[in-house]
Amino acid sequence: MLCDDCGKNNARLHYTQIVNGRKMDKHLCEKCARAYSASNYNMTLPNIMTGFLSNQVKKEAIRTEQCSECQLTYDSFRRDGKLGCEKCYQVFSDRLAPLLSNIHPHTVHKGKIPQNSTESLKRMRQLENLKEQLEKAISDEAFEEAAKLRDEIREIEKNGGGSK
Amino acid sequence: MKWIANEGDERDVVVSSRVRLARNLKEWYFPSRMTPLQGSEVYEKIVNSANYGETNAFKMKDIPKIEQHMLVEKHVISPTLLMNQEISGFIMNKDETETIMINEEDHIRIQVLTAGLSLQQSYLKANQIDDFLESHLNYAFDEKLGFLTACPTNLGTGLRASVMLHLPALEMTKEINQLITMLNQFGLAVRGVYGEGTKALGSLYQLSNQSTLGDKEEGIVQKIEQLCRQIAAKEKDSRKKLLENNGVYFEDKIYRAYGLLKHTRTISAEEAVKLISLVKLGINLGLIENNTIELMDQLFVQIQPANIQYLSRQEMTSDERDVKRAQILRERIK
Repeated sequence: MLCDDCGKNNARLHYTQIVNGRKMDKHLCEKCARAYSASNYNMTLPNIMTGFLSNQVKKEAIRTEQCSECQLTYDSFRRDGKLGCEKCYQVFSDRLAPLLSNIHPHTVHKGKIPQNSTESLKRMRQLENLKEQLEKAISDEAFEEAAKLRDEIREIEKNGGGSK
Repeated sequence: MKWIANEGDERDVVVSSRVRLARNLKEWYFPSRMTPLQGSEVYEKIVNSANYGETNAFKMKDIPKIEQHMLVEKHVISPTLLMNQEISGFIMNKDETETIMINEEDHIRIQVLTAGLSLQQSYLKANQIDDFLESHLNYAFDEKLGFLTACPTNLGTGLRASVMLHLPALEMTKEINQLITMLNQFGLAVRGVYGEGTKALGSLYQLSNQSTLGDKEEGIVQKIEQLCRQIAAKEKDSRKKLLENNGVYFEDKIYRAYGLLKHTRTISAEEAVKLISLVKLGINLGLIENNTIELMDQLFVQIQPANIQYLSRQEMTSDERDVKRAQILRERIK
């Protein structure tokens, strides 16, 4: 008997499948049988059920994921777009990341910083500003100004400031 | 309404400039998660920190309904502030150009509103108020994400800079559609001031930055101001061309609007806004004399429902308002 699928090799394996009370026989060669069982593997009922459930569980987990501080659920945020407290930004950071990059072209704050920010942040900002000024001075060919700025930058960097 | 009386740059196209900064206090839940008790504590905390200059503080629940809506129509406070009545309020200076809204969507919303194109100045002023508040309060801030806001769309700078533009000519020539597409590409949102979607009643458009994170405040403000200057130039150019090319038909449209407003006995807000817009255009082009564009800008607001009822000191039905509106227009337009 030749294989039902390829029609070339001899059929060595014989499947009997009952779907909705209808019996179906299949006779396959070894090669086609491997492909057949691989493609049908996930279709077995227990697998369908567990796959479905694990998806449900995952979705349910995201929905009920909760801020440890204000108890806001992610589902509630998805409904009305408002977070409950500053901690929410940490708790939901993974889910917020793609959202943020959708709304804002850059996702790192470059604007104003509070007066009571940490010294290292202040120094980093000061360095960024000076470097910007330096670039401008160079493009304006204001080399005296550029030299002054360069010295200032070196001085700050020598004193342990700035991460860049 | 006082802000409208001030002079301003590009006043024949730009009605007003507004800058808004959103801030929240560290270690307090955002307003939507606060209990009424926490809400009033935060309210007191902010009011006590804001004693700069001559300002007054108001609890929303102490203000009569009509007055609340009148303030929204004047753009002095936001509609959202009315949603949290139990805990919300605002601080305002005498000429109504500076408002600090408390417990709106965020704990603090600093707003500076001025006539004409003055975003950069408005930002400087808002920044000063922000500095003052911050010397008394601790803000929720993250080194990477900037100022933390209830809605991620305000994150970072918390800055929304918006400009109200009167663009009747660009609308008539249909150039407006192309302009809006271009502005969207520049990261700016455009919407009608009155009316939804693309139907901008009275040719009044609001233009504002979409993104608040990743750019510096000065850069955001400067970009919008520069674009507005270009738009204003284009609008003025189109106005002149319309008059040159359509002559009597164009004039007829404007004088008809003028005639209607001067003699109407009952009129809806919608119709009034459309007609005021045309008369304003007529004043811009020197066709209509004895009236000012400042007056027209005031009328846009003063013919709105809550303003009419506030002026009459009583609640009115829609029909009663239409009659009162007509009377106001006949009296004010010369």
